[in-house]
Amino acid sequence: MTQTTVKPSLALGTLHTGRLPIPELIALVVGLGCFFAFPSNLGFMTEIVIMILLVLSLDLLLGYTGIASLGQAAMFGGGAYCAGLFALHIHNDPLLGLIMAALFGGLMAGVSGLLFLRAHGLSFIILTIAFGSLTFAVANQLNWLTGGDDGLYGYIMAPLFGAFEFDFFGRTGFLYSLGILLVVFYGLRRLVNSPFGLSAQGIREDRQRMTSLGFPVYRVMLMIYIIAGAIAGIAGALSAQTIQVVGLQSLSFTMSAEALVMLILGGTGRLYGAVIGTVVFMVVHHYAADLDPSTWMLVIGLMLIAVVLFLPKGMVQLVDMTRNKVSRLNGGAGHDNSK
Amino acid sequence: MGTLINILIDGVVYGLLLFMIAVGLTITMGLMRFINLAHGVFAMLGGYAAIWLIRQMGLPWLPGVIIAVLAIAAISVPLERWLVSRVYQRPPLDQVLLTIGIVFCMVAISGLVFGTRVSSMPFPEFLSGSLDLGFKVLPAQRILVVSVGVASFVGLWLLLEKTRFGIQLRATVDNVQTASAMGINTRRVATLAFALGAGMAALGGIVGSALMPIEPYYPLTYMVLFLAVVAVGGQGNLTGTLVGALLLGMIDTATKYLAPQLSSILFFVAIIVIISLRPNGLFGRAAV
Amino acid sequence: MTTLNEQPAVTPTASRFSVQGLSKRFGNLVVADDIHIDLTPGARMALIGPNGAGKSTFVNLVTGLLTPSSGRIVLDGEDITTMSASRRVRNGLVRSFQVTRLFRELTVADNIRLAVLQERQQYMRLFSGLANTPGLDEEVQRILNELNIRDRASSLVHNLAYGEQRLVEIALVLALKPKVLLLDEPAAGVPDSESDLILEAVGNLPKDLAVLLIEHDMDLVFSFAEQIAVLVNGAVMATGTPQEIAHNETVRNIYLGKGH
Repeated sequence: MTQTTVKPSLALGTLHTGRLPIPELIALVVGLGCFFAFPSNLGFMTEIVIMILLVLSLDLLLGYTGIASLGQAAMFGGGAYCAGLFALHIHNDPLLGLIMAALFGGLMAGVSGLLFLRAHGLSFIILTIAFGSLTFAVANQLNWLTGGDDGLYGYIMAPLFGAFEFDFFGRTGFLYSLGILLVVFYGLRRLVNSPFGLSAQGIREDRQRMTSLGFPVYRVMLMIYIIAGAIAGIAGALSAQTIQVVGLQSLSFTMSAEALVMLILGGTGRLYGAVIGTVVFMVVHHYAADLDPSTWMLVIGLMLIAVVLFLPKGMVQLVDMTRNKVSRLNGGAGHDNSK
Repeated sequence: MGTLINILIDGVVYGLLLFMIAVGLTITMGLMRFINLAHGVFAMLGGYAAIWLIRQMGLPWLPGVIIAVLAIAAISVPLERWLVSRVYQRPPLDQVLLTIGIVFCMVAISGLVFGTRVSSMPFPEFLSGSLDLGFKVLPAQRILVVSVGVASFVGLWLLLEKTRFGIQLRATVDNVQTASAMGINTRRVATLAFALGAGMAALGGIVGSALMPIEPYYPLTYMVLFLAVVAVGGQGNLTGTLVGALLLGMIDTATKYLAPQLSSILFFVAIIVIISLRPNGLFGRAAV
Repeated sequence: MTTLNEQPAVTPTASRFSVQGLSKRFGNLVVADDIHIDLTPGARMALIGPNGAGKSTFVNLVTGLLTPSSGRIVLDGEDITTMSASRRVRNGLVRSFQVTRLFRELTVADNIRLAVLQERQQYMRLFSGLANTPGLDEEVQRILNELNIRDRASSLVHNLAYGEQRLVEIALVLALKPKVLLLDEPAAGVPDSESDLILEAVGNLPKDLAVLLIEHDMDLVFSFAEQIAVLVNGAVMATGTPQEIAHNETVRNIYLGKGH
């Protein structure tokens, strides 16, 4: 029955969506709506946009390829310092700095991935944590370059496209970050729905079987790791350019762990899960700002435990559950392709 | 030459301390393939418990330490039963997330209860002095670490090799299904091993508090270190853990003596190099 | 590639795949002992042996998961003994899995797509949609039709019946267009009601494909194989036609036992 009515590609059982930038347009509308609705919260909303980018990079690794990294902050902080230093010493054009940071993030991922991706399970996780700790220690050590504990500051970004000043209210910063997010999101959506993206998912499902199908698994994983590193680097650069200061905490384990919490909270393996999780986490964080750091840490810890025990697939699970209920109410049968 | 001897002695002290704390981790990882990032929590809690019992409750030192160790072992039992065991069958990532959650909670609670500064451990008179070896003056507390560390290794070895529980434990490490088919209550073995590991960590945390000061961020600060001991030594391997702990203790000490400015950088580089080259541990089998 | 294979007149008895004196020792334990096996194009050979005879060790050695202690593995005249596991597959030596190892959370079509993408070397296309990948869906369509599982294309693999999953396994293997196929217990665990499907699929394998069937099920072995090799304690104890093996006293005693 279905074969005759649906498009050939759907009849062939693809779960992948088309190439129209509809999700991006929705995000653009929502983003602009927030821009006009909360003009006094632009700084915070910029922070959310930046974190979404970082969490998306982690989703590409973990959600689509099954690479569990606890050191993604290394590339984020690396990109931030790269963009900050580039602006301070070489050129303060934001887009040029962004490109440098993307390259630097990709380079860090490439070098570390080359070493780490042969390891599995516990060893890989430890390596990523250790790499994060190493970058933190290096940035701390090179305080003549990075400013150490005081942070890196004192650079002023040139206007975006030579026309838009980074204003005090953060209007340019927000729109700039939102624009970059939309571009990256579109690219990622194309990527995960491409032959390469399907190969990544095959690796997530069963690495050894992918080898038995003749895939150079290590090489594909390394490419994904580099792409994710570049995206994290871009997120770091945006952070450095919009806040105009880079601190050591951008390289910290807590940063990596928080990004992971946001991803897990939203749900892995779907790009919008990363978006939902980050927004929810950041908003909760914002309103819990009065709490002292210890209490906030307790909240994150409890959130983690609760998600693992009660919501292992994240908040997208709630969406699915509702959707399944609705489709059952509508008498829709055979809804086995919830993904 | 003097530096070399210093590195050797301090490295052994530090290594034995790492062994005491990490040995529980290696056992539970070997047993249930459970990745536990929260193991350092037990060492920290042991430290806090001992400090509280001795300072606030006025217990004498030795009974205070013994009660603290037993208390932490006891606390770990419901934790294993009700929380940790629920993710034994889940993917490694869930185990990582759950145990990070535990770490964050315990860091936060410790900060709220005990304050964020270092809590100093009281030591009895005879452990406050130091021993002059002629070529090196060794604080008595380090001698304590060495003696307790060596005793722990020997005790654990005897436990594993000579007792019924040890046989059951080794059988379970070897293969859970087979062990359970042989009538071993593997759930009970896992809980007891977890409690044993927690108690060992608490003991290590207490006697090593001069080297690794008790403060709320303890479990995060030393997380990589404890995990690295297991990764280098091999999961579920007692002797391997000792060798791994001594090796890492030695490397860490050497970097502190030779390049104090760069010690943490060099240490992380060393860990990364060792684990990338031997991802299955120094004595591990090749990847299957 | 296939056109080349259709010229058997040039080298009629050329060896497609040969295992020469393959051995594997762990310390004193010999798990593979001087194994020789030779497959011509289109060969239908079965490797049988009791449990623990070393069949899975043999498969692991040949596919590159284990490194042999000595001996050579030659595919189409090329020594592949030290080649990586995935390169061997790209060169045409493909195995199927004993326990179904499919991508369970992906659809049947996506499972086959993966294999086709590798065979056509299209998996490095980073930003083009799957539907826009030239020739991909046509090839997936063809394989789905060939194995008669077209109406299951959009189902997630873990929702399929076991026998259907085995068919998808065979589909994956065929999508790779192998020259040599190690077919590892294709009927294991399949209920009787679905075993005809498997027999049919195995019977319809391409004629020029050299197949080594590793199997317990004697009915399948005797209906399929033209040659049988018997593996005992890591060594090939006997080789011959099904008739010869069926009448071989030693084989009967050691292997066939009372069950037959």
